[in-house]
Amino acid sequence: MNFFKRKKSFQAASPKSKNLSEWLSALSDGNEDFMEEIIETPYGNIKICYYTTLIDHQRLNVDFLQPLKTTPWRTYKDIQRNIYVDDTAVTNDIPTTNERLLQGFAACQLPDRKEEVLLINAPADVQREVSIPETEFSVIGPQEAFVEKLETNIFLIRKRLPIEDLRIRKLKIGTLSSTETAVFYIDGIADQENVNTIIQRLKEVNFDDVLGANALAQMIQDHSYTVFPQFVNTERPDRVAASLAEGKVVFMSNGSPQAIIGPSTLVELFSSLEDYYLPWHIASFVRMLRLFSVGFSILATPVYVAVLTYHYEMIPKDLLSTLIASRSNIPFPPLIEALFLEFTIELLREAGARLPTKVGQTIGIVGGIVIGQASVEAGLTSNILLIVVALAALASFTTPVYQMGNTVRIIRFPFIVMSAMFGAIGIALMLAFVIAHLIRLESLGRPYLAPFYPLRFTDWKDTFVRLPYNMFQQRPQQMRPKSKARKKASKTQKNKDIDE
Amino acid sequence: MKKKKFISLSVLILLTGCLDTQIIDEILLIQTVGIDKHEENKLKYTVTYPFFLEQGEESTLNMEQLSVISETTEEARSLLNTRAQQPLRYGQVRVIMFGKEVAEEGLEKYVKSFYRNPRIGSQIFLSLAEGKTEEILRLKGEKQQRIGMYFSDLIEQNIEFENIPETNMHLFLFDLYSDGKDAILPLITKEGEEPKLIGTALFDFDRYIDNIDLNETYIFKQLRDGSEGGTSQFMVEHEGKKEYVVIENVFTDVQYKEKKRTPYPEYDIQVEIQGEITDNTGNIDLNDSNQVTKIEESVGKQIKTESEKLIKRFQELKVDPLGFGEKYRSKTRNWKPNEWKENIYPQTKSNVKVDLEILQSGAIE
Amino acid sequence: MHSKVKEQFQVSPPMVFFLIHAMQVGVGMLGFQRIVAKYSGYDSWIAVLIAGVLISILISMMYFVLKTNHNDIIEIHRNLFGKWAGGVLSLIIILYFYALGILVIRTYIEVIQVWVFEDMPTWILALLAGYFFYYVIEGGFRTVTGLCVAGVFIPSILFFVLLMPLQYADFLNFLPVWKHSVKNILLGARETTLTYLGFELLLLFYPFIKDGQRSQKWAQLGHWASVFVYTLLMFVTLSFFSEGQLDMTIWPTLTLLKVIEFPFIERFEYLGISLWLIIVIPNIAMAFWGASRGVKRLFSIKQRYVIIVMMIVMVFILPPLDNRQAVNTLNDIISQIGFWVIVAYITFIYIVQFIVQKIGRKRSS
Repeated sequence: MNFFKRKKSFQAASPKSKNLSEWLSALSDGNEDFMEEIIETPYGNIKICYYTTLIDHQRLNVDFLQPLKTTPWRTYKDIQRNIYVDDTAVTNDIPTTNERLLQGFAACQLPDRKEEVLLINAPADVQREVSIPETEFSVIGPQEAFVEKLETNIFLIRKRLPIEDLRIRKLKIGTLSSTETAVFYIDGIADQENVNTIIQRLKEVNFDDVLGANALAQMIQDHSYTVFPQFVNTERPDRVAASLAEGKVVFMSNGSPQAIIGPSTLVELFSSLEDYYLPWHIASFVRMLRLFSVGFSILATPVYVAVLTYHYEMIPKDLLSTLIASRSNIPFPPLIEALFLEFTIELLREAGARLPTKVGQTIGIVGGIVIGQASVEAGLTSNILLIVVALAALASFTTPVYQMGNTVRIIRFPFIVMSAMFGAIGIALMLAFVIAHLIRLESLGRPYLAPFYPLRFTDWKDTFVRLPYNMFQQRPQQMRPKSKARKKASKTQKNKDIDE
Repeated sequence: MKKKKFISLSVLILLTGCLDTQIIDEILLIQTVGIDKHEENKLKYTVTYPFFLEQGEESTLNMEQLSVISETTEEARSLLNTRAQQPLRYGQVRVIMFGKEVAEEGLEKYVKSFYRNPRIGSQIFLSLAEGKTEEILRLKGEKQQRIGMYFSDLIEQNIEFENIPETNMHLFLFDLYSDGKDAILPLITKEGEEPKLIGTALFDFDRYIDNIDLNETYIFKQLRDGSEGGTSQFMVEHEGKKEYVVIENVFTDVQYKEKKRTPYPEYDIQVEIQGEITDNTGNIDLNDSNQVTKIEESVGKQIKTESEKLIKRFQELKVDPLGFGEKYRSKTRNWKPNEWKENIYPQTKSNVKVDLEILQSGAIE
Repeated sequence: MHSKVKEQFQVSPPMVFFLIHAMQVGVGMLGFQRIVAKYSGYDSWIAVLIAGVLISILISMMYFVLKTNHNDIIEIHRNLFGKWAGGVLSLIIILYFYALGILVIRTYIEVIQVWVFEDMPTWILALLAGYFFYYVIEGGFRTVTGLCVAGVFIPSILFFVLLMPLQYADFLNFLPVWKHSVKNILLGARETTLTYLGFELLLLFYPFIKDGQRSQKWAQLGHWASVFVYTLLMFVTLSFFSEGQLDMTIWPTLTLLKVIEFPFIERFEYLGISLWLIIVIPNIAMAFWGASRGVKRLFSIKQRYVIIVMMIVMVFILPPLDNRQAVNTLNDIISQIGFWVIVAYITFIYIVQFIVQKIGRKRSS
């Protein structure tokens, strides 16, 4: 509740007149989209004011003005009864009025009741249609993604978890943006400690313009100096529902089509929801492929640099002449060569991401073929490194969570530099640093590296592999779920012999 | 705070930028080393290494050979560097070849110096050259370009498919420092312009003693550790005529059994050979099981006599490449290497039993 | 001064498996075979097993002492010997742990300098290590334990790789079994106990284990896992090298790795040495953690300050220790202390505790 208090103190700080009518009239001075008009009806005149830009004019006409003109009325009560708008209120409080006006309410005032206004909800509804997920596309999963409007998103989640135990706590964050944020959890499954932590931290956010859920996630994460994302962010309602069912806590903000899931572990950041739609063997294969590709993506270029700079002994004899031949024209040491190529790839990726889709594709082709080929021909890079870097880049795109993909790409650079300085030892040293760092990381106070550390073998069913669903009898221990069992264990034993 | 510390640390490291690099196109990788005796106590080191001519897009592979006279391998490398365009490195050495004269005086110190150097692998091939290695390493024409891999491929494929017993630096050292076993090396020579393997060199500790030819090596390989390769041609009597069959070894199992111990040990050597006839002269009917049995017996007998002859010869030379000593030692509590070598080994008896089984004889009748 | 570690900083009993195992398997594993084989030859695997049994007994003794006191060694010293005598004993233990950490780092740096980078300056690695271990220990005991878990899991692939040299195995080496005198085998066992060193840190981290008294089976399991690894490694080594060869090979484990080849990588020892870093790090981190924790408990200084001072001192100590003689001397000293700490001292404290308990019981009855 202290949130509202803070809001009030902010309002009081700005010079405002104490009289509601005067205050209303004064509003139109600075805000040219603020309208104040007198409506004449057979039963009397009525003043109505609103922000034209925030109001759905058709709705205002049909649901409010029409009945006002056709049905007799005298008081606010009469009006409330007659009009077709449900969400109305009578108030004399300036801050409330202000807030509602900004949310798309219209305020109407009877000439004889100057101290009070009637607030009518008629917000303009600019909304994107629920569309297919862009960053987390799945082939056989549902094709719906969150939109910017929080109500729609809540609807999407509620529809997937139609139980009363799905609790939603709403908060307003940001002294200027006053972003509406909803925290979701399932009572009876989620650990209350996690819920409290996340609400507590959200309440403590003190920032003027909160840009949305992703910005909030950065403000409340446990460690702000790390490159590893500590929350899963997703645009898929099914992922949110699945996470809630595991006992996690989710929050979303109005205006951003992404949900933030916590506490999260490193492994979850590499798992896609597609893993749960596919048969388990295929899902496990894909998941291992993905984990392998992450390792490859991080280590391939550093290993190339280390081997070619220091450890020529390790090159197998059949590869030796190929490697020497491909490098013999290149004037730079492997480090520069590798950084040049990595930099090029990053440029291409960034350019592709910033440009419209069609231009982006062109950039990809131009970059991949022209620059790659040309730099090999010009003797700037060896074609073996070109293959290695391109594969590594490709591998880094397999990461299902976008932010983790960024981390994988970024983290490669210190590895490359270390490998150029200390060879294989440098890579191992960097690896040790990353491991130590990961061990220290926490997400909402829960260990980030679980279930590897602390070791929880029962949770390994959903890490490197995704075992069949009959192994998923228990929720992951990582969340400390209040109720552990996911399904009732069926007692029917398969004691039958063949053909019985 | 933490970030600052890290940045300052990394800057510090970058500034020191510290280690000598070994970028593969900026060093010359020695692939073959030859060591010959030179006048007095000096040795002549010959090395070959590939280098690439930079010609626009295409680089061409070339081979270069350098010789230098020195006492130790490391000094030789440093002397060689005074003549090389780029620094020479030992890390990719594949074959080390010793001249016969060097080997007669003992190889231990050289092999030890290669073993000491952690840059050199332990699966490289050592070999003995009849004549000067410098000559052998000088190939003509197209072969010269492939010289780096030429000898290592030559030895490797012969170990895998033909008659040369398995060997590399590790195995040589193992045998060298083993009390009850003597080392061997493949023997290479040059005939005209062609380098070729001609047999196996026998060592007493680190000194070259004698060598056996390829046919004996075939037998030797079977006796030493059984084998899965090798081809040899045998003469058989067929209807009073001398005919030849070629038998390719499919699988050989050899077992040593100690029959008795005192006063001198006696070993039963059971050799079970499974082979196939890949070729024969004349008109032996290979579908006739009697004929095949006849060949089996006849060839088996030949292998037996050859084997016993070979073992006799080893005993006369007082070398033990078959490791009778090891077999004796493994059952002796007070093992005395010298007594074994001087007194017991020459008196050791061995009975070879050969059991040859022809599995098949090709795709035609 | 009473220390009850908060539950959120404690680790579960199964973690003791990793703590003990990760501490025992370390840099000593690279070269222990030669030292043990100097005394016990091809019977060294027996020595390794005997030492394993011995250490297992010592672990149960430690548990007896720790269980009765429910506290760490600093407090036990205070209870048994009073403030001053106990303090001095604690200080010795602390210094021992600190020196152990330094020795392990120095030995690993030496391996790097011999095998990979001759020109690697010690101070750079010391600086990096200082920062790294500060970062790790700052994370508290749970982070250190996490490193132990990583240090067991990640290098476990090496374990399978280490079986690959068996392609050159000669099992005749082991025969006849037990040909060395009991005395020699016990001397070998004594040398082996040094490679098992590290488990004595249990004396300090015991209060960090949830249900400490129930963790003994995990400690024993961790220890026996080490025994298994060491015995297996010894077995592979003995079958791979001949005796004379092993005697001159300083790091037999690395030489073993040399023969491993994959189609995409040769000379596996370079990878092995790098991966060994992940094995070595928990060792050092635990030793430094133990030392700093000890100082904290003894003098009530903040552990953060202690570890900063320790790391700075380390950065200055390491570079002057720059040759093998110095490292060997340090090694000998630490080994002596270590041997006395683990064998004699633990037995001693066990007996004292036993007597104290007997007296106490008599008094109370």
